[in-house]
Amino acid sequence: MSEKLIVTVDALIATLVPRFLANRAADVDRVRAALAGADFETIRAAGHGMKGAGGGYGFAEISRLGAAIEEAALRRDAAAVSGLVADLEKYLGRIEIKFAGEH
Amino acid sequence: MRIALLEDEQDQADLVNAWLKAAGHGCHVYALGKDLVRDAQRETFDLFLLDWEVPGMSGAEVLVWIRANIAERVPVLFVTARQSEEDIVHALSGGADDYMVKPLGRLELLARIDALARRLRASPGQGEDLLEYGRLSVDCRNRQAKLDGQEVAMTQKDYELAVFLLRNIGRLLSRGHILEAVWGQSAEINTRTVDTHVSRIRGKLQLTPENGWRLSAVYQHGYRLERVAAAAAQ
Repeated sequence: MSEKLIVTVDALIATLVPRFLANRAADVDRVRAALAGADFETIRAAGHGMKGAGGGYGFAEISRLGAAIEEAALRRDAAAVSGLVADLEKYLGRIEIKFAGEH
Repeated sequence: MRIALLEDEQDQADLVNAWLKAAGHGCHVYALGKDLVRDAQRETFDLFLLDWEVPGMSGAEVLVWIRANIAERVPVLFVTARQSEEDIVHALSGGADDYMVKPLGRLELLARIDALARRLRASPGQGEDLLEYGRLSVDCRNRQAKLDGQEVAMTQKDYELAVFLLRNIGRLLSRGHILEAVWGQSAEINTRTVDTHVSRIRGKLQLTPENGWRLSAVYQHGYRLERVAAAAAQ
């Protein structure tokens, strides 16, 4: 069983976080479907979006994985994309949110 | 400030919108460059936040449009995940005033917005507690407007409208912009309300050419308060 990873997020955006994480879970499915069709532009765009938003929400790891997915897509490196999206899925499964200011 | 945000990624738009609103700014989000351009032709904004990669008209193209079509030098801050030196140079050379690479930090974004507002719209009286223009003075700390040293009785909204106009002398301000600044972004108020209040403060504060002011309605746009040479008014 994977250890839980506590991520502290700004309470100001508490209502936005569930949808953000749900969209990242949807990205996992979307990237895998795009990979099956060798649609690297879709994968690149998904990675680009994750890279831009992750850190702002408090999830620096999502930005890091997004940047790596974007670069792998630009290289058309399917194996790398597959590995990275598996890492993303694992990461999303481990997250436990703590809002800054909570006790 | 009234800010136009160009951002097609919903999560990013929601995040920046939440930050700006919590800081007291009004934020208008556009997913498409052409929609921002459409609104910017009839509305005024204090600052543009532009993402680069959006469908259709890109942020860079919107920047070109802004610099070519908006006479006032409105600050433009690029916020984008593109981070090559070439991209940064392209944006700044094209007329952007600042550039931030995503992922954004809330405090840094707000600090850069404040810095742009200070640097690019510095004018006498801006941001100070006491606004003084000859016969007219406004004590913002005590919320009092005075003519020739005598307090002018004003409603709260008339006072706030007067201060907003005085802090933006020379700027064309759309009715929508004025409504948001004085009545708030969610207020459901007819834009004619602005006309009524402008007329009232023009009279109460004697904002007339004879006194060195021109408060003019610009057809289909909004209002502009200017200082004029009193002698030239005759």
